[in-house]
Amino acid sequence: MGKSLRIDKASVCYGDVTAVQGASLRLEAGEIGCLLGPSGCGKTSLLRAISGFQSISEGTIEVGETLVSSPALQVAPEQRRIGMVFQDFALFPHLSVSRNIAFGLQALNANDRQTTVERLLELVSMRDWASAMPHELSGGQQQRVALARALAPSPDILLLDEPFSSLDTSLREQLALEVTQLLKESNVTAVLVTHDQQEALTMADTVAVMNDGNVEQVASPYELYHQPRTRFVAGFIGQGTLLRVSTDSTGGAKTPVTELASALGQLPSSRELEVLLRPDDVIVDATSNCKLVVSSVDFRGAHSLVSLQLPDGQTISCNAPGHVQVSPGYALPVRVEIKHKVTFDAAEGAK
Amino acid sequence: MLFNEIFSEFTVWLRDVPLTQSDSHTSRVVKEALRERLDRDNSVAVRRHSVYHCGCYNPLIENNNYSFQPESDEAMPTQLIRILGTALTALTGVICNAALAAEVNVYSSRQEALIKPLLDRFSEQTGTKINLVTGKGDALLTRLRSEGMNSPADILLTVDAGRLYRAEEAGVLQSVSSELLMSEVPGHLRDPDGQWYALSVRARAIVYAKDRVDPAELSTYEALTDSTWEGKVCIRSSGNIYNQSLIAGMIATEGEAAAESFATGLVANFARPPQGGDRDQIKAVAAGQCDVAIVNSYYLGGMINSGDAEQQAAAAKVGIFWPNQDGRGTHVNVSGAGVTKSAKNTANAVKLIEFLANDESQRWYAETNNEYPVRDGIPVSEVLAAWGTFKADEVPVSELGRLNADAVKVMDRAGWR
Amino acid sequence: MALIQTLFQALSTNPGSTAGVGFSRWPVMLVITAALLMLPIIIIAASLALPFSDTWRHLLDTVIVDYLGTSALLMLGVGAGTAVLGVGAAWLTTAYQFPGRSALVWALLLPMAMPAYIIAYTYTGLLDFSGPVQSALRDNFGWGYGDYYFPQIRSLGGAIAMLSLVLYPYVYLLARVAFMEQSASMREAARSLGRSPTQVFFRVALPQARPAIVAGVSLALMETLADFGTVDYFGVSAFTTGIFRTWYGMGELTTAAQLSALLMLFILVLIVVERTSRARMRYHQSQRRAQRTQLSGWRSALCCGALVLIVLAGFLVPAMQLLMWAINHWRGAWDDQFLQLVWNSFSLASITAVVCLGLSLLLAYGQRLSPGLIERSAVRLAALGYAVPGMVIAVGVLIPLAWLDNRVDALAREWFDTSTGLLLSGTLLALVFAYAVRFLSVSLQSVESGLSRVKPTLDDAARTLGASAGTTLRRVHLPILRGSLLTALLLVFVDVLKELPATLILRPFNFNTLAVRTYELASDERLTDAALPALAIVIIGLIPVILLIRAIAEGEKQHG
Repeated sequence: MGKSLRIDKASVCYGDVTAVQGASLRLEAGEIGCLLGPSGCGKTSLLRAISGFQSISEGTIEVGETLVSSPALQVAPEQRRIGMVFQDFALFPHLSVSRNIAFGLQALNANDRQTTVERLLELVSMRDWASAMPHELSGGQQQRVALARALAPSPDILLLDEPFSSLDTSLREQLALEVTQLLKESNVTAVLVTHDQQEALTMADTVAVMNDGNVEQVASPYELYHQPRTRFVAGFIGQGTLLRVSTDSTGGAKTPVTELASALGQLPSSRELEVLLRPDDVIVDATSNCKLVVSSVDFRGAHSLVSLQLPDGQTISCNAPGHVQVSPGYALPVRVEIKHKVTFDAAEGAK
Repeated sequence: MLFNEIFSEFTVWLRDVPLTQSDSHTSRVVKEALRERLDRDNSVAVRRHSVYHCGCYNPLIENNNYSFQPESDEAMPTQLIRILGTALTALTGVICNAALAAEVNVYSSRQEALIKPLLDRFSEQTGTKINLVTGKGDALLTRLRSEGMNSPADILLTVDAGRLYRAEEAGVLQSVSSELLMSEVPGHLRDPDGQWYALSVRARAIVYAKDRVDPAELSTYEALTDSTWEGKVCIRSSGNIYNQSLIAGMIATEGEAAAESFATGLVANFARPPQGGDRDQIKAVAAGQCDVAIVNSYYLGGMINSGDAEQQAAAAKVGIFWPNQDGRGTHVNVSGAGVTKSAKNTANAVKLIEFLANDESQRWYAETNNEYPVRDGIPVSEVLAAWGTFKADEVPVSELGRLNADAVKVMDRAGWR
Repeated sequence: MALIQTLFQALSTNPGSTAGVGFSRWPVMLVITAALLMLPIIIIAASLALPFSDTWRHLLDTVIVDYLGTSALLMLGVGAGTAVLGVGAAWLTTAYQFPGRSALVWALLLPMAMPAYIIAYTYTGLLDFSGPVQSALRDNFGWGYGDYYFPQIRSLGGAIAMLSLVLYPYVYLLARVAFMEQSASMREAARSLGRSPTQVFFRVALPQARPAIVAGVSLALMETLADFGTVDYFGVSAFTTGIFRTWYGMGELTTAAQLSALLMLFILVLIVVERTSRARMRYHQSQRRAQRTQLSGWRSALCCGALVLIVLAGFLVPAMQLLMWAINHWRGAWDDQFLQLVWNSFSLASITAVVCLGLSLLLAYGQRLSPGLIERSAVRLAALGYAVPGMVIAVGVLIPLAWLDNRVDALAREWFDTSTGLLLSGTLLALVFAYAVRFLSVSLQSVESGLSRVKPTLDDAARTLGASAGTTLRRVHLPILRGSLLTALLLVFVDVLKELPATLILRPFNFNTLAVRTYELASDERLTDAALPALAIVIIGLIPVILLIRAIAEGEKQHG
């Protein structure tokens, strides 16, 4: 049974360089959280602070009701009951699969240890490989062993550091689902670090998007996609365009495309704004009399991502069904339906 | 064996609680009683030296039925020190060997093979155990100095006068007066204050190729700087102590300028850059690489007695010549010994030095290593007898020590490598 | 002030120094250990603070330039010699397949058991003007002195040859491992880009193996700088000659210590340069190792012949010479104490090897846990002793130990009216301490290079599984590092065995070793009598070399 994790305004510094600035995140017991961001955003530093390898210069980290990190206190990693799955799996090359899994079970007697190891081998479907050495395993198998090893001591929290990045794409998607299921079955609180938004959106209950040392937004995947709070989150999660529009004194959008103006509806008056337009907000509709010129087509099988040019030169994208055959130059009839209106002040963006 | 020794010392220590560390009244009484008894039993051959009471087995104490359990009113630091002492003793058990009073501890730069047999004979005769450490003279002197008054050494034995002089200068030797030594060691071969005494004499002679050199052409060391010897002289490097003392002797008698012109002249006549030891110089003469070489005579003796056909053949091709017989005499250095200031066993130490100077030991040096006795009238080996007698330079050997550093500088300036 | 701030920052930014549980112990232990090991080095370095005597003027005027020049040439020569022999042998045995390869792989290690001064004695005996080779030439052709050219064995060139022949195995060992771990794909990529096998060696394999080669060569060079036995015997005036001349000849210990301190400073600069130059390099473990190319015909004969020649010159010839001398002259060195000597040498070398390994592990692992500036500098300084002649180290050990002993004694007299005498001076402990100071570098290099190949995530993985730093060392690193640890043990063992008895000035009474016996007989110019103990040193030294060979053989099997 996992425990809750509370990170409160934690900062991580290396000398003069601040890697994480006042990050906060709360996960309830059994939740899967995710630290998402481009490389260099500080997510790994925060993960190492949670695991206890890195000290924090401000703030606190609590597991359950216990304080494990503060500027004055740093509980050693081995005493935190926090498990970890490493990017390179870090399987001990001198130990067999089952002995790798048994590594963290020193406290148990031989019988219990054996039982636990077998249970985990079963869980990750590696029973037949119990006595294999790590270098004899494929990447996916190593990944499973690493997970089993981290889960074996029933940690309060499980950390996964880019766990799928060294696997090939097809394997990655399949494993992500498997692992999520496994984590939910084991009812462990987990923190996943990744730069792959698909992974984050698939696996996590709560995602913290990080950029340049700051946590930009903590939210559910749905909320992140549809209600990004910052321009960075809007751009980083999913596809979409930030469309520049000016509004008149009544709050109507000044745009030559009336379809768009009506879809945007009431906006703050007399402002320069940026409006988030997702491809799924723009729907191909043969009955529409709003026709926009196609500038490029990215065919993806079930659907195509079509870029459409507005008369003022800006482009928006549209999810067209895969059977709609279009080519650049073609005027595509579309309808705009904005369910979640997200706007940013353009002046702020200039800052 | 090594581990066993350490271990047995350790177990012995556990049985033997040191009296001197307890401050309680009872044990002080016991201590004093034992002191008295120890004093009475001075004749006991083997006993602990009271100063070196570092937890060694004491048969006298074991015979008493006193209880040596640590007492409750014992101060904490004392107990701590005792525990620490136990640990240290376990690690350093070997030094307890140094604790026997009827023992003499010797720091010797004379190598083991050339001293141990004599020491063993002394032990047999007197029942005194001798402990020996050998090493380079200056290193032993450094050890002696840094150990200070707690040094276990009773005797410092060296193979040249320079080290004895340095030891004296460093103040680590004490004056001992022994009528026997005064009468047996000639005045120029001992320290005026009796801080050290020479025990054997080593002569630096000229060897020549019998087939190429007529001994009549040879006269003095200085004559070898003549241009007739150009490319014909072999000698080892100036790092060698006997070359240093040869030059020091020249500085003492002829002055520094003369010594330097000798060194420069000799370097000009070198057959090859200095290399190898004295035996190598003799071999080079025999092989024809050079015609003459300056070497310590006992090396030639060693080659003759080596039992090695090749060495004997080489030795047979050379003759020995005693230089400067019409002047100051052939240069000699000495091996010698002095009693250290820190000596705990002075009486026995003096006895040992006397033993090393007696007729029997003097004969042994001659027979075993072809060194010369410190006084006349000692029968020497066949080899030495065949070389005849010679006049030795009688410059006080302490002068050699005093001028040693100057000699090195002279040779540096002369380009003598 | 700024420096102090930087130091504190360096300490505070690593996790080790914060108030973690069971985390901060290691850096403290590391610094204390390093400080202890540094003590003798500091004592020697402190001599620089003493006034410089007139002797300096004399040295500067006369000999110092000569000493420096000779030492520089010696280092250049031995550096090039060990690099060519070591790298060449390592490359040929890892990249090519030819008859006799597997035997040569281990035979190439044999010269390691041969002390430099002993190989110098044997070659002098053989090749000197009066030796059997030249005598035979003269007898056969009726030549006399000066009628023919024969290379002078006792010369700078001779010293370079002797030292290179016995020191190249360091380079060979380390370079071999590096070559074996290089991935095949890297070399194949180079071939596919149009490079010849020779170019692959120079442009791909060699640069990648550079850290290992540099480590090996620097070990060889440090040993060269500390060597006194060989240069003294050959009459080569190197820097060590100057140190000992100043001490023994002029009785100026302070000046000698100052010279040694300058030598250490020079080494320190070299080490820093070397460290900085490879700071950005990282070892990688590769998945697929390169296959050996089968050589055929004259190529394989040439390759095999060259390697056999190295083994012949570095081991077989001198060993046979020793054996012949020993058979003819064993009485000169044999007595009822001889077996005791063997045991003493063996046990002293074993104890020291274990102690050095323990210290190296502590330092290397402590540094891994908290790689701060202070820790790193402490470790580097503590390992300086290898370049310092044993006798100078001995003085550096002697002085503080005797001082401590005398203080303890004085306190004991004052407080308890008793004398403790000298507790540490003149004990095996002092001796082992001196050896540890001298040879730490050897085991440290080995342990550090082993540790650097263990991925840091393995440490983290163990820690998150509840293992403390100590437990991680025991359960993860030690098993993985087995090979490196064994190598470290054996190198120190052989080194202690071979060490000139200089350091033995510290030894307890009546404690003799084979090296003492050998050196005393040899310094009395009884080379043939010295052959028996010398041969015993070589034979005992062979035991660890054979163990190492077996470890290598196992490694080969695993790597295919």
